[in-house]
Amino acid sequence: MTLFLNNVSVSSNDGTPLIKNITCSLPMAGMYGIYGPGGCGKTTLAYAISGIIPKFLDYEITGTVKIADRDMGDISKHEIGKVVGIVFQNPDYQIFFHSVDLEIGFPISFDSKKVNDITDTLGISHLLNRPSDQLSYGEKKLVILASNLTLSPKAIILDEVFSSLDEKYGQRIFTLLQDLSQKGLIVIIIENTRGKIPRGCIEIPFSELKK
Amino acid sequence: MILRLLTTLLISAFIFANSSVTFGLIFLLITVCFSIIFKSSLSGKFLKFVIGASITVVILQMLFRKGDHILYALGPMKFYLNGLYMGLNVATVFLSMLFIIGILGTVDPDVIFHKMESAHFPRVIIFPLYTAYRFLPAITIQARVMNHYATIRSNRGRAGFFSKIKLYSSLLTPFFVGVFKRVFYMWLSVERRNIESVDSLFAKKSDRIRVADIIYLFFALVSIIVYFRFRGDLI
Repeated sequence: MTLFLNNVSVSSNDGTPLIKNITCSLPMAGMYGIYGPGGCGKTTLAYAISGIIPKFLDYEITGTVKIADRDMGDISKHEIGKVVGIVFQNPDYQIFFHSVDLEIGFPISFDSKKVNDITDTLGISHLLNRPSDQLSYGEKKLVILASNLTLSPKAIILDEVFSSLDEKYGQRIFTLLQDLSQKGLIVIIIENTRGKIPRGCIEIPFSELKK
Repeated sequence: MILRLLTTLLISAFIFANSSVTFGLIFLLITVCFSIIFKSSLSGKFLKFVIGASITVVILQMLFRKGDHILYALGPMKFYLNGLYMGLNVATVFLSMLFIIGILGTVDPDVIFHKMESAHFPRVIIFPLYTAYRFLPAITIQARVMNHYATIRSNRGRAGFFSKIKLYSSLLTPFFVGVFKRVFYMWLSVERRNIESVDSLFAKKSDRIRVADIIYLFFALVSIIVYFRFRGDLI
């Protein structure tokens, strides 16, 4: 399983460059931690890798993004979730359904074995029958992570997830991701500082991604 | 147990209430009980408001709707029987309507939207409605917070009329941008999850109506039936 970025540049509609000439090769599944100061373009990079740019955000993108030998430009926007998952900084911007079970289960089935396995591993089975509005911030992030994982993506990006979680939730997420990365998942953790990258990740400073 | 008791009471009221007054009083009593049981839910809050409003309507009708039969006189004020009937009539309609509105506060919204899907509402209608339903509370809180901070920063209390208008207009832009951004990301996150592979967004939720929802629906329907049944007597 590989993730390959070749000379990726993104600029906004008015031509302002957001990231320039990013080149990076993650040759195998594992846990990678990309860190850099605020405003350097980490979230833009996450959107570019996850296909949000240009499928949903109409920004100009040049270069190539390939995950598991598939060019992200060739994948339809409805299929992107099956290739790469993403957990946003703010879970309130991501939870769509009122019920947690629908949120995690969509579009497969809220009572499938896969949903049960993932929720059991994350320790959130007890949340399945609760309205998503009533969850804590950490619980919402776990729900979003679970909803991404039910689609079995090849890679997953966590945008400043660990920095806003307490130790209990952070550890739970980390353990699950570690297991999945050993089974072939590429995990990219994006944080502001090096200190927030969990131990065990391959650390990559954002500045080193520029060609 | 309490719910069963209340259901029994309402059925008793329906069968034995030979006068609209008896029915109105029992109905009001049950509404009070419901407002206590569901006090933390939206319906409970609704009902508290409804009880106050219904009592006010009955009192006003008794005072101002004149008739032949005076129930009670207190100095220059006279309470008429005709007014009591009319007040109960209006209050019952009011209760029935708000019971139905209250369902939205208790029934799982996924079930409501599943029913819309079953009725072949197009996704282009269901999506915006569902989004609005999901985010209305959050957006309301956001508007309140923005308004609160604007008040603190601008000392709006002393501002003139035009300054207030200017201030509110300056709040609207960031508010709408915030709402748009939120809705955009939420749609994005669900669209990228293979949404085209499913015919129904809420299909699996069809049989997940809670007991409280059924009871609530039952009361709403009964109240309407009762209203039409007793309408002649009341007027």
